[in-house]
Amino acid sequence: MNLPLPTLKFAIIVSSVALGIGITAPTITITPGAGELTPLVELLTPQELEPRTYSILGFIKDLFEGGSYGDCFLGVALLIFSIIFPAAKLGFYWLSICGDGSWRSPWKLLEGIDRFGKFSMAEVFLLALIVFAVKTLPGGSKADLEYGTYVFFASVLLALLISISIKKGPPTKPAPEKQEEPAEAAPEEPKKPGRQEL
Amino acid sequence: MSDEEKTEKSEASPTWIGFLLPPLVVIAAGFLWVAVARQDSPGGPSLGTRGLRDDGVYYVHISQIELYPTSQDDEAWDSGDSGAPDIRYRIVWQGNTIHESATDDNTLIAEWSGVNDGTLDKLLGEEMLKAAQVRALKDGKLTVHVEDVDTLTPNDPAGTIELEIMKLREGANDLSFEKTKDLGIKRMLIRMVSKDQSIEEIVRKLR
Repeated sequence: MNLPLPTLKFAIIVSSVALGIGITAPTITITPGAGELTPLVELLTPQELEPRTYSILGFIKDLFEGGSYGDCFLGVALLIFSIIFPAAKLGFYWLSICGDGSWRSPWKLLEGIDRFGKFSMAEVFLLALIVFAVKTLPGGSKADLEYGTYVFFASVLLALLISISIKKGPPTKPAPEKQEEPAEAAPEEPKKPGRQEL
Repeated sequence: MSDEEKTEKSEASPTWIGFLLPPLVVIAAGFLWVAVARQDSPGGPSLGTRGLRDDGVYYVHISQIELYPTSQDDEAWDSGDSGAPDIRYRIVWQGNTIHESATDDNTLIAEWSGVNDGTLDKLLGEEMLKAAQVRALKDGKLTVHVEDVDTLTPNDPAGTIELEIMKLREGANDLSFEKTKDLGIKRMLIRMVSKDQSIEEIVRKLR
């Protein structure tokens, strides 16, 4: 796949907007249950059974406020894999398509991002893990995904699409007039680091 | 560092700024979304989100009334120990009293819940919702009478507010008033909750 530059730029911006919304919009609603005692708990302490809706950002905040090392560890993991890493990755994608080819460092870093790219589904995995964990809780507790999950997922998918589209190599210098499609020329230059898959 | 390297570095710097663009877009989108969501939430800071639907039925609940420290005549509300008023309100629609609140004693900021969800309430079989229902009609008006309840002497009116229903918005309406010789009400928080949704959602918004 080889998308035109404006389309790629647009896709990165859309993915960034979706990521921003995805991490702040409601992601999951947890409805606690107490099994056979649910009616009694509902009568005595109804607030305990109130559904709670979390966003990814809100969930991370709660984890940090939880105070335990385990919570903080999970909070840091979520922060890195679901916010910092996807945002940084989009930043590198932008660099890789908007550079003029006269610089190399960002492209080298993009190689590094390629390696981290192996973890790019970690955020979805973590979310799935949470849903799974809550769904298997006894007492009829249930977890429902909210629209934030789908927006977040869209951002991840779009980022994947972008990575596939720009995997053919770094942008070449605009100098040669005959070379109308720089991406097509990439296979003839095996030394370029950007040939590695993202 | 050679001149060539220096040149390359200085050329590269502006390009690097592009790296910040997507993360900044992420942050901006997140902030905007949070701002919009806060405005939308019933516990939001001040205003409702959208106008009322013409001919729609809404629950009206006054969750908070604040009075000025002294009455319209610049006198203490109560002559008792605390001097603070015992606040109660009454909502009138189309000439009929459709809701009368309980009295919140000795306070300048009275608060009421729109829901009866305590254990005792349930055992006593109280109605779940403590809110009036109105239909949003053009030129429809809602009158709120607020008074300081006195046991031994006649109640002191704190003021009467007349509201055009269609000017209210769905969600929380935070209204402030200037003190006059007829009005001792400083602030009023009115929630308008559409009846056209699940009871769980209505309860959540009225709570």
